[in-house]
Amino acid sequence: MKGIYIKSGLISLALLLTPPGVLSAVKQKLIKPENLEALPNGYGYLLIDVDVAGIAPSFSYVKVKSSKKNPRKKKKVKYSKNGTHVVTLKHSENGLYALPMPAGTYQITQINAPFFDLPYKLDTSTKNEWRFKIEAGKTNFAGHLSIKKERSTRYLDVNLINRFATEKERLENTLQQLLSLAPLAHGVGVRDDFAQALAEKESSR
Amino acid sequence: MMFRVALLLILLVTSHTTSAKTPAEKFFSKHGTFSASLSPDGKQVALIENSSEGQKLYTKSSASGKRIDLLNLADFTENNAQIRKQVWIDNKRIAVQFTEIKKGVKTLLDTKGTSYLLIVEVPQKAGQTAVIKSVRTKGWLIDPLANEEDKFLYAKSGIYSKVYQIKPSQLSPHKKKLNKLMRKDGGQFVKKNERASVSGYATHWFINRQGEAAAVLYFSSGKSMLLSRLSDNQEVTELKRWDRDKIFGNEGAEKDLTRQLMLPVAMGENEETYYCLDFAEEKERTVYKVNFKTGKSEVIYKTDQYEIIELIMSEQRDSLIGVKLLKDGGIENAYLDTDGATTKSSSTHIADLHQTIATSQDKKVSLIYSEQHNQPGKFLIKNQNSEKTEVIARRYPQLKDRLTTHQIESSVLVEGMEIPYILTLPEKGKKNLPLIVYPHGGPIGVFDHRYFEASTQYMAANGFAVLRVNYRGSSGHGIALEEAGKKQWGKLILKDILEATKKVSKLDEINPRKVCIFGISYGGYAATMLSIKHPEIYRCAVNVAGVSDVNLYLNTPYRSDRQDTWMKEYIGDTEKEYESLKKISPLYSVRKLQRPLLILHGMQDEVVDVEHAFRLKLMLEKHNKPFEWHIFPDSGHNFLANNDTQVMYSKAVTFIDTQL
Repeated sequence: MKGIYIKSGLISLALLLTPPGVLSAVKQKLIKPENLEALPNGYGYLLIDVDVAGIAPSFSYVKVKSSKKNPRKKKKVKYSKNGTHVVTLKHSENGLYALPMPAGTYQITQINAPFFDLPYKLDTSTKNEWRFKIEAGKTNFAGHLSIKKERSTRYLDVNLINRFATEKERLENTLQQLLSLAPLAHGVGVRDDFAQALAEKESSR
Repeated sequence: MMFRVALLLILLVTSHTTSAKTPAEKFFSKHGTFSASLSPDGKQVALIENSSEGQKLYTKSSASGKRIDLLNLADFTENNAQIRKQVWIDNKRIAVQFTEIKKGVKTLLDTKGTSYLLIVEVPQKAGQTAVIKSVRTKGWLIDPLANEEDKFLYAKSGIYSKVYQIKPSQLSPHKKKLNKLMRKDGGQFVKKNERASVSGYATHWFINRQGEAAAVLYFSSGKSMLLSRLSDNQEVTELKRWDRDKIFGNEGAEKDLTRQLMLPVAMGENEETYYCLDFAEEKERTVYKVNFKTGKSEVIYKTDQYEIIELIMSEQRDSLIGVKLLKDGGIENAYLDTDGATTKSSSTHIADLHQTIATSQDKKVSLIYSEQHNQPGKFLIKNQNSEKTEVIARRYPQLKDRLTTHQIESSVLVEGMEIPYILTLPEKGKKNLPLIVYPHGGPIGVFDHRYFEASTQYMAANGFAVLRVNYRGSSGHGIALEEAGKKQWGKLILKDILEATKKVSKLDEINPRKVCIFGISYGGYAATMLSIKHPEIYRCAVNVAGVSDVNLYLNTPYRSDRQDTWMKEYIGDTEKEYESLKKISPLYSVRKLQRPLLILHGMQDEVVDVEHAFRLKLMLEKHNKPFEWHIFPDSGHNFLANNDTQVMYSKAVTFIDTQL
């Protein structure tokens, strides 16, 4: 009996300490590109190359209302009232995954990668490289998300890498049907003129 | 947070079918002896070599050169192991700090490493084999007390930390099962063997010339780390105090991104002066000398991309003579030039690094490390009576003979600043040579030194003159030159390289119509930019692991907040200066490229992501510009996987040879 009290006590404490956004978090699961449904108006696809390991990794994101603030300066960034979304990354295999989302800029705020009794959590809410943007009617490639399998007790390797050029050929070859309906766009959340410069050159040839 | 890249895809598009005339294997082999120490009587030298079978500890007789193999790691353990340090305890025993990676919790890296002290008893008669003992009590060797037989100082840390004097003869053979009558480590960790103690967890003890603990760095029971002096009667006097939370970055420390954390790692000429590493650096790459009483500090040594893991002190223990570096996946000793890196006024002197590592107790035998620009490092034994000097081991055993190269050091005045450079010629007197301009990486805080540099010698051995420019931003030539590199990525740094190229091209030795530029990392960036901007000077370019989009580089995920702050100050702010950084990015200027370009990049590069190479490739294709490229699937920024270093240099030199 004593054990049960302790357990419930701990859970109560955890509930009291949990930020309100997390309690109301909407849970989502990434979808394989071949299983995607047609986009509603005002929506685009988030496309992400997932290479994760671990027991039950996930990431949380929020919509950024004002993208003018520089998160690295740790100034207040306004997030959408819709609150936090949690995307589970527990998949049978790594590779390309997508998620239909309303157009806008988003901030990945936290990566969770628990490992047995080690509750790995990485706060990414102030890092601008953890942003992505969704253009309506497009397949927005946000990059390569990796959570390394090998880790130490105090840290793990987590990255969202801007790999538009590296992956462009593969995406165009493997996602022909999807891209014919929703063309490929560069979905990183920081200013990056490369895709535009590349496209300009294509059209001017 | 530590960042890494995962393998995405492997692309092998173009490869050269020819190879350079002089094989790269000779210059980039990982084999050779890298560490040496002299026995107190001067009769033997203990050495560590990397061989195709793995790491080996062996001795050589300083008189006859006879070799005795003591420890072959491949035979000793099946685990991935490394010797971190070896030191003579007396004339019969060598202490070896040994680390190995054992099987731990699956995928949890830091449960696997173990480190312990081995004592290797050197055979005294023919036919005997080495006996290997170990210290089973957790701790570390702090002084070999090499002048006293069968004694060394060993530290054990806890709530109270203590230094014990241990007799190696009373230790048991490594991994031998102890019976009931045998006590662990011969029962030596007792009060009577205690030589110093402090209340707190000691991380470093500083030993004076008399072999006594003179100072200690330790965590107190409060929230502090302390450096304290120890008097003869064990009195503890505080010299310096650090806030423990600041050390671990728990309390506001992360906000102070320019902070330094200079912790002492070796004692200098007195008990107030210490050689320190800045532990707030991403990797420890700078050695400072700090007087903790006056607060005065100065930079003593700086390395470019390798981590300093230990300092090598003079025999008198009062001055720094070298550092142990974590380099190319192994540990390497780098000895200091006591003259410093400043360019000497004479233009054609032989760069000679000559460092006495140790002298025997009777002063008759010395162990010396020697290296010149055209002679790879070698360990020498000098007998003071006969004045005879013999080579006992070499860093590059495959390069025994002195190379024919000739080196010229000079400078060029650019925008009011003297820019030093080093020109290496395949041999003296040759005229009209093709030139490879070879700017170093960095670009801030790195420099090209005048001693043996394998890649420069490899290019010279293939018939090229090689120009290395210590452009503004380079270290080793004073603060003014280094600071002048701030925000000059695509500006004055490139001008410095260009002006040095122009000056050197006027020499009779150089054919100005046969000049190519080849660089790695920032050097790759500079090579691409200069070939775009000055096709009249540079006939081709090789970009290895180079930045092609400066904004992309600044937005890299592989950086800490501290690095981010530094990058903003020294390169630029991608949010405020996006347009100007775009202007200096080769990616957006490739339509002007007129010269052949070779791109080489490692898929696992965590410094300059492979995306830079792919972006450049796509833009070159769009503009129908000819180029060649090769992606190394397993290598990172330093091309260490497989034999990629050799392949990379071979491809670069073959490409340049073809273009010229």
